[in-house]
Amino acid sequence: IAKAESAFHSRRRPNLMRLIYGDRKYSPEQIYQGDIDDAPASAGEDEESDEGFGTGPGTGAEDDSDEEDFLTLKKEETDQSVEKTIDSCKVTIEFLDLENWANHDVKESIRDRFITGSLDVPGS
Amino acid sequence: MSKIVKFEGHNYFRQRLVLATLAGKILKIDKIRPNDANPDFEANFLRLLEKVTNGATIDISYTGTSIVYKPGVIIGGKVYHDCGTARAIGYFLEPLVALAPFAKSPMNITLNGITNDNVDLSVDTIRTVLLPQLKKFGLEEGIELEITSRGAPPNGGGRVTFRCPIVRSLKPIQFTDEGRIKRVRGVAYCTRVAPQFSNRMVDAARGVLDYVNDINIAAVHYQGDKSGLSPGFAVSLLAKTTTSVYYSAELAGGAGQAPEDIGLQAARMLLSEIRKGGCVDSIAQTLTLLYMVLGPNDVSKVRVGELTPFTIQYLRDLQDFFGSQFKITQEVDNDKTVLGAAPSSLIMTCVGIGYINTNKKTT
Repeated sequence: IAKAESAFHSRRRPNLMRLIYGDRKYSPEQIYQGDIDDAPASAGEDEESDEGFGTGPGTGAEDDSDEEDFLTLKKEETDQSVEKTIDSCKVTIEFLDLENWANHDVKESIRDRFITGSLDVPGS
Repeated sequence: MSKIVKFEGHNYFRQRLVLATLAGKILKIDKIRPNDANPDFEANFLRLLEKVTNGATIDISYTGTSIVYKPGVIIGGKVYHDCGTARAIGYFLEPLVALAPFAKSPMNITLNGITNDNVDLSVDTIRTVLLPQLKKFGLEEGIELEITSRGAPPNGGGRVTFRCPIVRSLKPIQFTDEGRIKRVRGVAYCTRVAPQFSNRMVDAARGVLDYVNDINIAAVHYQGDKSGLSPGFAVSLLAKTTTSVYYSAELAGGAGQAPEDIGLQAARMLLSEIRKGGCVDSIAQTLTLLYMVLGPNDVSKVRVGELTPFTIQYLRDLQDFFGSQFKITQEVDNDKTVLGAAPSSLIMTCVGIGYINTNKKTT
């Protein structure tokens, strides 16, 4: 049980405030998935903000006047991210993750969130 | 802060129009689908926005790739709107819920279209999860979503009526105790398929959710003119805790899918949502954070399990329109002092801007 629980909760990352409000280098999807370089990414910065469709003020304004082949390449990228973000707050369904609930231990790992769970408070 | 807020791209279109309306700021969006034809639903949403507000101007460029929106006053009142079939009713209703309390007169809006699909929030989840969230901010009785008829994709034909009272200002919230889940509720419906489909979804879902005895999932079979224009079936589930926290999940089925699979997967999605923890369901995060920002000059505090990408962008947009930042602290509850709480979650804190609905007369 503890293993399943920690596997889920180990995905957390610190510095959320800086990632969200800072220089907005990363797209919401990247922050969510933890797809973040700790090293300051200076070369790949432009690319990243385009790919993630980070449409906040000040992202990717000047790089439009590039050559033609660059433009077509960028369009492909854009099309992919359009499919990903469809302006809906519904969370994307990950069916692989759902399969795990067939496992008894995984299912038991949230038992204490219900009133039928253990009333013992560990550590008290 | 500047009076004009600028964005690029078509994503997060609705929230930016809603925030501009509430903040009273001019919104300029460029590069809206520069390489594709614009789909109709965005224009349709603009038409709806024009119906519920007064004095707004929307200038769309000749190519349709940029718009300038000058917000007007939210008037509310009795409105009818056909949502079409490109997006479900939820796409249109969700932003209306955010605007409704600040209208001049109570909103009474009837929407026609698709009630349940796997892209937008279903009307069931809006009714059972989003609307109860409003009450925590001090909205009195009278919030109502009546589902008159169902409409499955592709042809829709469903109809709902949303009524919402107006307020002058919101109350701050302190919502950090998750409590423990004591009951599970839900609705499984089907239209223009065998009536047993609903029961088969219910049975499959119940099998997974056997943590508590208090489970009640209604199986409804819509007939005649209440069943819309297309065959379809869907289930929406809700877990409620001792402190009135709601967790939800929903799934719609299509041709060739077994109702058992839909029921089973929806139930597992509910378990995934429960595991995230927090006091706000993923789908209610944006509305909750918006109302915390609009609240009085007082501290509001809420616990969330994990921020969705949609919410992360929403936080940035809230900053751009209102200048409000949330303090986000990670709380690792190793001692498990809160019974049954998820071991780590985020505490979101902010001071409200003291938004006043000047349209509502003080009595």
